[in-house]
Amino acid sequence: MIRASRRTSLPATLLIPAVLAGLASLAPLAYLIDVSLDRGLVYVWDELWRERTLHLITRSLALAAAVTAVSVVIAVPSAWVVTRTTLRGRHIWRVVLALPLAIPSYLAAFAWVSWRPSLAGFWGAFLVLTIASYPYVFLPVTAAFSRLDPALDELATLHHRGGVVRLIMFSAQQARGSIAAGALLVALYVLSDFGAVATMRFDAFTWVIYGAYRAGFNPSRAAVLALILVILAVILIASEALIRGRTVATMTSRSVHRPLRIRLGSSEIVVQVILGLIVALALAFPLWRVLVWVTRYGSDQDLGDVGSALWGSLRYSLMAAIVTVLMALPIGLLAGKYRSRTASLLAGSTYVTHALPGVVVAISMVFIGVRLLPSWYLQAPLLVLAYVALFLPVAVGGIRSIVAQIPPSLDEVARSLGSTPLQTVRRVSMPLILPGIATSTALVLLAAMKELPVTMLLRPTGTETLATRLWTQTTVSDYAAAGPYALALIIFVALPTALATIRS
Amino acid sequence: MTTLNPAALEITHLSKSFDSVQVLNDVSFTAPAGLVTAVLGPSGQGKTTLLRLIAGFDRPDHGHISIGGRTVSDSRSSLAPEDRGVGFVPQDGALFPHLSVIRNIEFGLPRHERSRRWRRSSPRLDEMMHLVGLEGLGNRRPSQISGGQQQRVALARALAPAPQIILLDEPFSALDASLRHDISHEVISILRRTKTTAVMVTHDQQEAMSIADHVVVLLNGTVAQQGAPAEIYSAPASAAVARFIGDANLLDATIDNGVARHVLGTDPTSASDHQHATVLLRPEQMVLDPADGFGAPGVVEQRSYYGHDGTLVVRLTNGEVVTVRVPIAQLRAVGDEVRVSYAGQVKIFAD
Repeated sequence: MIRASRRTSLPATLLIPAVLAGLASLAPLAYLIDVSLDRGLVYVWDELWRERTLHLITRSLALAAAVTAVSVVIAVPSAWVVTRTTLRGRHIWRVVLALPLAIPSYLAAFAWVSWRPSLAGFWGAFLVLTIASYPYVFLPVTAAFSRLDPALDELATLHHRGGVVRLIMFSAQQARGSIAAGALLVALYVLSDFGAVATMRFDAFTWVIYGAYRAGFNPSRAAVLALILVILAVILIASEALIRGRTVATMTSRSVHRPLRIRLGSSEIVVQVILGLIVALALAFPLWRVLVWVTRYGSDQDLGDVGSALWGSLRYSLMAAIVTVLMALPIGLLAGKYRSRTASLLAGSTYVTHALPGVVVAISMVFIGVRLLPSWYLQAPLLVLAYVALFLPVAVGGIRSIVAQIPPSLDEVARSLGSTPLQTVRRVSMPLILPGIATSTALVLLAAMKELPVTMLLRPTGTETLATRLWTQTTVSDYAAAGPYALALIIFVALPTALATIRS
Repeated sequence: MTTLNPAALEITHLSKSFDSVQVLNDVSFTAPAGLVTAVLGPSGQGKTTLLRLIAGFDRPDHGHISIGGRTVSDSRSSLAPEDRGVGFVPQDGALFPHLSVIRNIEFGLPRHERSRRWRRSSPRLDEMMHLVGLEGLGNRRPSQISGGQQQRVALARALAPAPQIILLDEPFSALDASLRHDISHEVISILRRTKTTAVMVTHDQQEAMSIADHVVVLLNGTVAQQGAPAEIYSAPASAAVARFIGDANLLDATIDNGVARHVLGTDPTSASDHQHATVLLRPEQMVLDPADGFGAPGVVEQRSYYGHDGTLVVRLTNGEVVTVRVPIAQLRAVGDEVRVSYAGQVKIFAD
């Protein structure tokens, strides 16, 4: 109707901090462009059309496409069976299926390649990245499915009697915004992952860029390659916006009956086995490998070292999570509440840095630190800032989708009942988005705890984290020494993941 | 009745467009204090926009709004929604899903009038809970009560701060038909008991006519007529209003020398000569004459049986169609030939 086309101007109290946060997250990109153009546009052009570069694009895109497609295929039906059916143990499955999020890709890659070295290459990278990243689709889609109006589902049940696949498709259609957002995260994750492709020795963008920095220290070539990655990310973000479309499912406070759950009947066994298989590959196998390292090789590891590495991980990740969510709030509120081009652009811009490989972000931040903020270089603030730039979209996405589900009439009613705009935020918007904020904080915390390249290059002098310790030991194939760190990482990163999942 | 009450809400020359679409065009009306005013119009004619302008959620392009004698919006300034003292009951109720029934109802009360955590009661809260009959449901969440109960919570929440005026946006349209009649009369009786000035928008003319004291008919973004329901029904200002309010037979007519001629006969009129006029005859004015009577001949095309009475749709010889309300004994079969005439006053529109 006419109300839908209503134009609202964005409030400055949100817009200003949102723009500042968006700009801050773009700082690494500014550096990239600066370095790329150092040698002039002709150089950039030639570099772009080198055969090696084109091969690189094809290989990386193929990997990203394969992982994203299979992740969606795994995640959407799994999310559906745990939210919409009478599957036995669905509450436990719901948590367990999200847990692989807690296993860093480099750890999983090591588990596999140390078991079967022949896995190295495309298929190894594909396997590891798929099981590591499908939870990025599973989590938002589970949340979306459990909020769908059950009446629609009941309607669908009436019309498509028996056809489980069609029921899933019907639910997926309504949750396509969440699916698209999750798929976007997976694709961007694959493009920017360093640990898995490095371990599997698959020549993807990040691995080659790392080489260019490391071996020849050729910042221009690395920067050009990184810029191509950014362009790919922008294309992905644009297509996600298209899929998201105009329709957003809204929370309903109306339904008095519980959601209808579909009986799986005789196919329940098959579902249980398939879910078990996913969890075995994604969770049980790496766990088993880690336990083998710890027990078979024995360990004379000093527990104090593990403790201080854990403290190192936790401290900076927690700071990063809090700062990230605070910076994501204005953007998420704007993008969720207002259908404005500016707000979408702001939310989209936060994805740009997320798509940059951690290595590049790290080196950009080193540069920025040395040049602009020398007092922060190799200090906590720069590391936290790098985490924020990397993980802002994780928080923005979560906050945005929860805000979008709050009907605008709630705010209006609160205003007519005498609440000022600020009181309305405190009494209505905040309590409603708090679960989303908690989830976002946990997700950023986890992501920062398992992040490797940025931590490696930017951690304050003398600080060791679980991730850096593990990487050091595994590069020299010292599995015995890596065991305790791997175990600690799994326990202390898996635990908050479980908590975040149960809460939502 | 209208003139006895001072205006609680006064709207003058109000206009609003979205993009290039003019939604409200020079709307002026008043809502008398202590009464229920219904703004009645077909869907998509700016009724909701009108309420949003009164509540202060949107700003008008032109015009003036005053509530209880105080200007809340004019061409220069617009008061924020929280400063207007307006209660709002949206179409879907819009209860706060994270708050209990009690906390929803208390939302608009000043802090010291809200109940304490350990007592769960305060004088104003108890009064409201009793008023809308929700005792015992106070700790439920909105998702745990029925649609009718949600509507009552939304009403209690809007009434609790004792607003000068309460706005209801199609408050019963989300309820199913069986509940609708009961809830709507219940809500209206609550409004009357509390002597609250209410402005309700609806597209349902039966609802508006049966429960409102004062009706404002909004057609094409402008006020077509306002007055008491009986006045609007018996003396519609235009053929469009007549067509919208109740069942109407509108017949072509010509006016010549103070006489209107139409297919059923002639009537005296004070209107000036006109080639294209319209006469209004309500179905209950229509009568069936005996076969040898003077009525205009026609053929029954439809018959509807309502128990207490029935209607016949008759096609007259000139092609015009009229609806006739008849006692059950006079109901005829489809295809029967009948003679139709009418009794009482006719309303003539020269256009």
